[in-house]
Amino acid sequence: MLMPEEFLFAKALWAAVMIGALLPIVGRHLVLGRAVLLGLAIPQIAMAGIAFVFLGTALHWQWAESIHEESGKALVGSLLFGLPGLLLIAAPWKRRARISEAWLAVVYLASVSATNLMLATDAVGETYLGDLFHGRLLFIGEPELKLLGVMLVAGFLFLFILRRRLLLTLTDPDYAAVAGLAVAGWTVAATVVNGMVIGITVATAGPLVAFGFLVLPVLTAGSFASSLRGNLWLSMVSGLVISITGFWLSYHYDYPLGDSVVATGCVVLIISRMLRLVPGCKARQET
Amino acid sequence: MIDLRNLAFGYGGDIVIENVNLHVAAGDFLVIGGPNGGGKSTLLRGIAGLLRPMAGTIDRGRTRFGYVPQHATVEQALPLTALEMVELGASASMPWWKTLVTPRSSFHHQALQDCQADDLSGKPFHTLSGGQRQRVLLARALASSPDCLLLDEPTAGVDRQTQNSLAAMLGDLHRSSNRAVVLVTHEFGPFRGIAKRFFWVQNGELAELSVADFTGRQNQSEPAC
Repeated sequence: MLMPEEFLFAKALWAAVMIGALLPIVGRHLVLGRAVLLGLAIPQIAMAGIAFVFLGTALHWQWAESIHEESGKALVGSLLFGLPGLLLIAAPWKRRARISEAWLAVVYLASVSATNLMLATDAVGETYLGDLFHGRLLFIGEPELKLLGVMLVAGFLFLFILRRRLLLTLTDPDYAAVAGLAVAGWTVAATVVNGMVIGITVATAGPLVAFGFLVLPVLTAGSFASSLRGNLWLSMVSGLVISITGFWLSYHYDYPLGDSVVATGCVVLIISRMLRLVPGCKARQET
Repeated sequence: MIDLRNLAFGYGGDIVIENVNLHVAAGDFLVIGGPNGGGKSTLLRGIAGLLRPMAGTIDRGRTRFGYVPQHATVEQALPLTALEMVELGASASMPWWKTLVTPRSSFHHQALQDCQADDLSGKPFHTLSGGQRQRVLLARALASSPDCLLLDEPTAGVDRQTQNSLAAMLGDLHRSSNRAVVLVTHEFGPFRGIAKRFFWVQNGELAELSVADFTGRQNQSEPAC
């Protein structure tokens, strides 16, 4: 670790920095693919999965009871529902056929109500998920941090290295298909990677932080960048600035970490949009 | 190059166009006209491989296609420059591992130059006019070195002067290579002296016409103002 061992929240800071810097590339994929609501629905589906595992524990289901750590339950539940959920609603079962915004809203509503109902009789699960919703980064353990880091780096590398191919299949599937690309295969691959990254981020940092970093840095970057390259790097820098500033505010004023980080992101986004009104700061029209 | 025999294309089990027999040779320049809903775009999508034949056979050989969709159907809000649009398109025709390195910028600039759009390379795609977007989308298709260009309404939504300029540019590109061109259009006029063969699609059937017959049908199908 590059910071003093005695710093109590070192792991939380590392997690916030990694999420801030690396998750925006997944968000960029969702925003450019006009699938922002997917980024809202998937974390909530993952939350329903976590609630399901807690419910299983309360009902003494053997498989659920065999997962002893609460963080382990969160990881299993998040991926158990999040990954199949993303595949079911995002994979191109028919070319160009996408789930409508209205149905995504239904998925979101169903996930929220199912989560609440599954927790209705389980105080332990309710407390855990309540903490998770506010951003549970402060309680992150060493194994969770390592898993989060590995997943974020792997997801980043996949989406960065193959960015041209993935963006083309996402934004112009007809052109990509005519050019001979296996559009369905590339889309499913991106969906699986995005699902894994979002699922693990939700399990460790909560849905608010996950959705916040999927959307806010990319929109902030969009205030200034008019190229794909600029959009990518500015998203990452914005995410980093938001996570570090939010962490400092939380640490200094003793606010909940997840809420502080996301509120900071909102303020940064508003400032970036206001700066566009200043001559010379708007996304450049030509280079 | 491309051979269609007794083909039928449609959507969801409903046939839109049928009994299509068509041969496209290298160096051909085909214009396909017809009224709205007649099936001309469906035919183009079928040739491109975006629709599976509902009957008949299609032999595309080893033809590499460059597809130019209507500019209005391309995502407008993407934060990408004209050059990046060309880079993205060209990456599709490469093995994925070759897209890892920085793309051949000079080659992409050349494609833009061929389409008289080199001065647009650094401009955001969403700020371009309809005609400029069409030039960039054509450069994107050319950057993948296609044997056959498929264009869907390339002159839609642009003024007459831009239509003529786009058509002249397509003619130049066609003459300078042995590339086949198949285009669907409502605006036949700009292509009158450029295209070699003329087809009319109406009520789900395709017919090859002379220029005079094609012009007559075109005039009849235009709504009176």
